[in-house]
Amino acid sequence: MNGPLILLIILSLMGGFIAVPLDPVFGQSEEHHVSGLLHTFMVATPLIGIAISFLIFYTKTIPVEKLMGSSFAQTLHKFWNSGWGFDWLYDRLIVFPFLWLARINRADVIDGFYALVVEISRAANGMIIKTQTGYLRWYALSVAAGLMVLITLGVLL
Amino acid sequence: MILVWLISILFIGGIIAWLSERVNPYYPRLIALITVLLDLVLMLSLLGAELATGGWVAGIDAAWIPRFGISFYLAADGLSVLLLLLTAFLGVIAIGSAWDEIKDRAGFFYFNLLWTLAGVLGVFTALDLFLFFFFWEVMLIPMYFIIAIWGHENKNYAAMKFFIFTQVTGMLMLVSILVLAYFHYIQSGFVSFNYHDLLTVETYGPLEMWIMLGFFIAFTTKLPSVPFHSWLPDAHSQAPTAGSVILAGILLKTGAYGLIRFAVPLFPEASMTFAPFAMTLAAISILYCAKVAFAQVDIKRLIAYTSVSHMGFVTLGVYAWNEQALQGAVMTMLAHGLSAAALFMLAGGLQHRIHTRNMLDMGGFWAKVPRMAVVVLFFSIAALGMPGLGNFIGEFLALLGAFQANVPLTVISAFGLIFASVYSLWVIQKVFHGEFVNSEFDDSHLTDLTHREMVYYAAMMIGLIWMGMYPQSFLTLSQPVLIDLISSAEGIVTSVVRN
Repeated sequence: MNGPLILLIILSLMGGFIAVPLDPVFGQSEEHHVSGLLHTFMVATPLIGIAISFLIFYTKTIPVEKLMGSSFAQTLHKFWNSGWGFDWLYDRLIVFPFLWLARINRADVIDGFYALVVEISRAANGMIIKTQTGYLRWYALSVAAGLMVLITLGVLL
Repeated sequence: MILVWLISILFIGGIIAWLSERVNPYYPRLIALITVLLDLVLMLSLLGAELATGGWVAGIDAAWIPRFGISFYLAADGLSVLLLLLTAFLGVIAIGSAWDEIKDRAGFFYFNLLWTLAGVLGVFTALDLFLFFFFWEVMLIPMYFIIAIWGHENKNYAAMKFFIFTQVTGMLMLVSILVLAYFHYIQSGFVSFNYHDLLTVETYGPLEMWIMLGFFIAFTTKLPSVPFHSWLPDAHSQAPTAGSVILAGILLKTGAYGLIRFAVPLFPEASMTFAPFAMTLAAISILYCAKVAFAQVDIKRLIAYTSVSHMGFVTLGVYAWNEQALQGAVMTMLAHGLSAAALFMLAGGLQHRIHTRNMLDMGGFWAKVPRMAVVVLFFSIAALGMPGLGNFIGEFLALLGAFQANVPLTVISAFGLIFASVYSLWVIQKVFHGEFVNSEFDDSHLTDLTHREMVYYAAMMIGLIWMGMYPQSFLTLSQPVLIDLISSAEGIVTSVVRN
């Protein structure tokens, strides 16, 4: 079990020296010039981290219980334990809005427009059906009225 | 001449299948299968050297109604041949999916099936716009019967909706065709509906936009695209499985084919002006329908909405109008034809077994039907665009091409790939994982896929892997055609600009 782990340790330390032939894919990358101060900071940060954890967990110079005593530390612990709250953030930003949108529009609002067209046609059909009374005088009146409209149109235009 | 044979074999086979029912109720399906297989074999003879150079093969041009310049003009190029092969292949699959399902009036069913296929073959090969419209209608009416007679609980509503949407927009296209032919008559003095003649018509101004919209609306209704998509979920959820296979696998592609062959090349200038709008509609289709798909509990409605979403990539690719984007659109058409047909067959198979499409009643099916679960997983992953399978090639090329045309819309559309994995995995999780519930249905019929079914799915899997691993064999067929279309459209646009 240790063998593979040791291999991985070596690779993670030295892997950067192995040249991966990806230049034709990504092109030549430009040299980045980082200020000396930033460079020192970047190297120092993990070393300081190692030193602090050495003091806390190995020599126990700084007692864990005392460190965790304050409520601020508790909150910080919770926050870090949940991975900087990214799940929470994604839930609020993406998941909940998506689920909400899906829920309110399950029936596809665009289909509602076509359903409305159908309803209007049905209503118009219902109104026109009412004129189908079977009374001859009503039909005669309709024909006469229609003729009058046509003649008026003919005269006016 | 061979194209005439391809189409008439289906027409005649349909009639024989119908009549043969009197002799034996099992004859129609056998005759239908033989007919479509015969077509498939005949089609392979079209694959030849001429296609690689972008030429038309097997052309036939006979006078039909000479007084109006209407001819019976059929010819196929690489793009047509690819779609013909897809049609025949899925035709065989559709007959397979109907094999056990259709017991009632089988003769008439296979008659309708074969006539729909014949109409589709006509649509993919007609180069006379009147003839094209004729075949457009031929494929519509048998499909209406398939939904209205062999459909499920709400079949009349769905069939009528399908019919009205397609018929009304088809009429718009007919008006556009007539106006275009009239313009041709004014400019060259003779009436013609010939595609090559009409390509030379110069239409200017706002009228060109209106004629183009007639085609655009007809094709994007069939495709479909937002906001003309709402017939599709109803038609799919109500149609019998074979109907869904034909509908999703082939009929939708006639809309895409129409956009590539007619809508853009006939009106290059108007299309160029309209392209940002069309691409916006495509982006909306992709995202909106993916979201609505996720909200569905009816598994067939869900797959129907995913179809609309995937077809958005086709619209996006067509209106980006460069080679990569068009290649992507064509590959998406082919790959989606297989993956959507397979998913609808699986949903239909489930419904056939447990008599429900409601996903809330399903769960934990993996242990009961492991083979089916794996097949669903495969096609879901194909549909969501896994590299190595055909759909990825299509959607990736479409996005790559669209990126050169319109960056913001392409970036927005690319989110469709994420949405696709959300709803696909949700289906897998809901139906196949979790607790097995059998209170809602009789689970004694929940049997795994038979060997015959596995053969169909395996054939479609091979197709998708082939498309994903060696897409070049398809791209070489469509490439010369697409380059031709692009350059001729650009020629017209630049000459107009120069004038």
